[in-house]
Amino acid sequence: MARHNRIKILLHSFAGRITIGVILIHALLIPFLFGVVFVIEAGYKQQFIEYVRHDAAVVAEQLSEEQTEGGFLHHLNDAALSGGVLVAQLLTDDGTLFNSTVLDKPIPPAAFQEDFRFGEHGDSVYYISLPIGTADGKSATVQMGFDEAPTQEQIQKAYHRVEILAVSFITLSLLPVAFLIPQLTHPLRKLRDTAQKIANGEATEQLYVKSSIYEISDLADDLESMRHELVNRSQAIIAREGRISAIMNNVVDGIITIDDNGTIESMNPAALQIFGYEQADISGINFDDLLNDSSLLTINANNHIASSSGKMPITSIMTHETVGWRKDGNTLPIEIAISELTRSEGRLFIAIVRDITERKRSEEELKALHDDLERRVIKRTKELASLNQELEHQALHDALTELPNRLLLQDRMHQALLSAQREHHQLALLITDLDRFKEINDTLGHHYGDLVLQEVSARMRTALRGSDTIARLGGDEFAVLLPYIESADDAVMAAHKLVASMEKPIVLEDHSFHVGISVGIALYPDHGKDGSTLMRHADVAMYVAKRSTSGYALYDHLEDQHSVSRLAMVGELRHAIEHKELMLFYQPKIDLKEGLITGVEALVRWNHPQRGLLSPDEFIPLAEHTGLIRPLTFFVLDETLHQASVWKKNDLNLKIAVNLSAHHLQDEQLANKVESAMRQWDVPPELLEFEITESAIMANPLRAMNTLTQLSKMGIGLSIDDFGTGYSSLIYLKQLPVDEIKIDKSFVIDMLENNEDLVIVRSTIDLAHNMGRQVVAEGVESEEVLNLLMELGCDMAQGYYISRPITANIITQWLQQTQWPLKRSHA
Amino acid sequence: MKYQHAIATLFILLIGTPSLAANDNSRHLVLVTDSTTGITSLSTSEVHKLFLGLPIEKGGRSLEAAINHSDPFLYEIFLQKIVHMSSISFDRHLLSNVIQIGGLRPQIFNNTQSLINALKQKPGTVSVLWENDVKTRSDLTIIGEIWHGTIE
Repeated sequence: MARHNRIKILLHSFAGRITIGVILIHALLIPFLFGVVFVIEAGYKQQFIEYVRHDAAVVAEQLSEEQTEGGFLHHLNDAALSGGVLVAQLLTDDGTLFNSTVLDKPIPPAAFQEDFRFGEHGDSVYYISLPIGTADGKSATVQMGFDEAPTQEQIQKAYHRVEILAVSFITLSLLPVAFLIPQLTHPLRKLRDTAQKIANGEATEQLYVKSSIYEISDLADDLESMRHELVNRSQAIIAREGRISAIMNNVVDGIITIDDNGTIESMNPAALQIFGYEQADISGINFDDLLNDSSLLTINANNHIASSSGKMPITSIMTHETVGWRKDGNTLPIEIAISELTRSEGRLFIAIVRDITERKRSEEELKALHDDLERRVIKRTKELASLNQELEHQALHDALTELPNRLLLQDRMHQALLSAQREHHQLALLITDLDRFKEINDTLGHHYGDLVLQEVSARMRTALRGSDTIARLGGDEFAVLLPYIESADDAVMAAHKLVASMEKPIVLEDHSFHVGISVGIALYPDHGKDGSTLMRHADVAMYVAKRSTSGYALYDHLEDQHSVSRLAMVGELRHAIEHKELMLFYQPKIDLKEGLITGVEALVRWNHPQRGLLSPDEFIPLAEHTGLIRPLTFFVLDETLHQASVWKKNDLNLKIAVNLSAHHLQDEQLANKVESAMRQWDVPPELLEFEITESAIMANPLRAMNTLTQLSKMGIGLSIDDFGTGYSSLIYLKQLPVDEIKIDKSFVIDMLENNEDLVIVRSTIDLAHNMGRQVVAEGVESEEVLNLLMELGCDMAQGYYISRPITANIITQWLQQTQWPLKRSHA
Repeated sequence: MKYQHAIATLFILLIGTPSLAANDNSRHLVLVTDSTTGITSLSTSEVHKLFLGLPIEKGGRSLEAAINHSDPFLYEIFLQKIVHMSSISFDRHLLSNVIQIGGLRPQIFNNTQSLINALKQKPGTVSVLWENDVKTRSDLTIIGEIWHGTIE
């Protein structure tokens, strides 16, 4: 049996196959060799037959020419001696047999078997007989036997040689085969060993097979490449398996693999922990054992999860919540996702299990929080809605008066205009402005101003219908929308009512205020078809109303032109300030006791390109109203200091007074700015004086006090201008660091005719002197007035009688001509 | 005893059968020509020359040889008894004669019937046939016997 196996192995081995191949190749050659020998054999036989037949024919020819018995024997003996002839005899018709005496082996005629083929009778003798006619006319038969043995020996020898040759050839052929086979099989065996090593996982050793045979060396290279690739892939697989294993071992979710029968194949540590199992416990466990209700989650043949909620296809996307069964008998809520993997040994189900105990708890807490939050949201929503309403109200109403603001007015006007357009009726927009409110606000403060506004709004509400909209536009400006009027008279009536409502004084905390109101009326559609036009036109009418005695006015397009020019003037004034187009005039002041010029008051004039030279009354209020008063004042201050600097260099030390508005007194940086300007022009403070009105100081007395104190400490002179025309407080006046008081010209001009004015002037002079202040009388336009003032003890005077306001260029000439010489004590 | 008689009978039959078969296999190879040729016999030398392709005239008629190649044994007897050479030498000899002397090479027939037809169609043609094939035919004449014997 073992031998049979060895043969089988040999037959199926590379060496065996090569050997068999060589033998088979030569086995094909051997018949060829023997075929050659067969041809040779045929040749030998043919040659033998040729010889026999020819030789027999020759003998027969010779015998046919003989007549004697001796001749017969002679030829027969010659034939016998020629070699190869075993029998040579002549048989005559009469039965006489002449036999060769040399051979002496007669063959009886009956035993003579003639051959026609070589070796025909197997007796190694070729018998041949030929009839002859003898010379005596008788017939006879020559019988000869030729020896086939030499020819047979030659044939045998040829066969023997071929056999030797074949054996030698095979042997010699197998020798190189025997040499070549190891050359082939050795590297192949090595390749096989390496392949076996690779198959056994021992692929780390590099394959090196030395062979001069390309196929083998290529195979070795390919195998080495394969081994190298296998090593790389193995390492990659190991690394990947390591990563997968690490993931499996560290993933938070439990991962369970289940076979087609529902038997668990593996559980990762997380799954073991979830279900309380050890790795050794899971053998043979069915997946259903992990579930509280085995019927709840079953993998059936149709790849569906049968659950309480119906059949669902297995998919990794879908998750199912159920109850898990721990080894210790406790249950826990779990979430399962199952996916299917098809492999060669059958389907594999992968269940991803997650312990959702904490999540469930969190969900319950979250639900409680959600409910609580929802309650809070509802509550907060209500609050926000309320707040929103309040904000909306605030957004649309004035906080002080609770009246609709400009925004709400615009909305209502828009609605009213739509209605008026649709229903073809008129509406009216009234713009009101309180008279003297600014003074109240400036003198008594915003508190009283606010109270006044509240009272005014209440009176307006009382005076008008409930359907009318009263809105506060800002400051002391109000608007009234009359959404439906029959005619302009209705609007006039409403305006009249508003004016009438303000006739009674407003009494607030022991103060009684008389507040007037100016009402401008614009009608739809006569005065405008949109809100903004009506507003603008009502505003124009309101300014007209301020100048009227009735207190109200309907819009007139002619008046509108004035309004437009007023707006244009603002721009022109700004341009004039920026481009220094304003001119400064200086009006001298004299010391009445010494009769000397003490200084000048700087007065600004505007040389308007179209309207000519404008007095301060024509543009200063506009500047104050538009905020241009600040740049205007600093322009005047800068020009004044420049002029003072020029005069100083010309040894003309004139003290220059500059008017300050209430706005400047609120400027905390005023003193610094003035100081900087003086430093710039190198003008000493003794040459500068500021004139301030009482109202400007009383607007914010505390801050005015600070500003004036700073200016006074700098050495700048301070004067109360237009004294007696506005609200003043003697207490504050006493505390102010002012040097002089200027009596308003309205008192001075008529003091000769009007005794009251004279009383005021005298009282003011006495009061000022009592407070240690000097007095300047403005508006001195005659010598009589001047003399009276001197009698009253007035310190200084200023007016047309002394000099009109003149430019800086003229004032030097004037100083040379005037009767009042320059006081040289300054500077 | 009974068996001994049967064995003896079988032995006799076996011994006797070859002799009967020998009688049955007895053959005579004869020279044949058409009956109209008018030839009754040819000498050994004439036969030899005729089949070697040499010109032979007999009774004023030029004779031609037709070689019977239908039976290998017949042909070997023909080679040995008439032309005294092997088949290769005979072929070479005929070819040599044609080249040296001219004329046609004796026609060779591989079929007995074709040979007989040729003999009849062309009087003066001589060939070699088994006697059995011609002895019943009156249109052919046996003009000599070349060999007789048994075929094993």
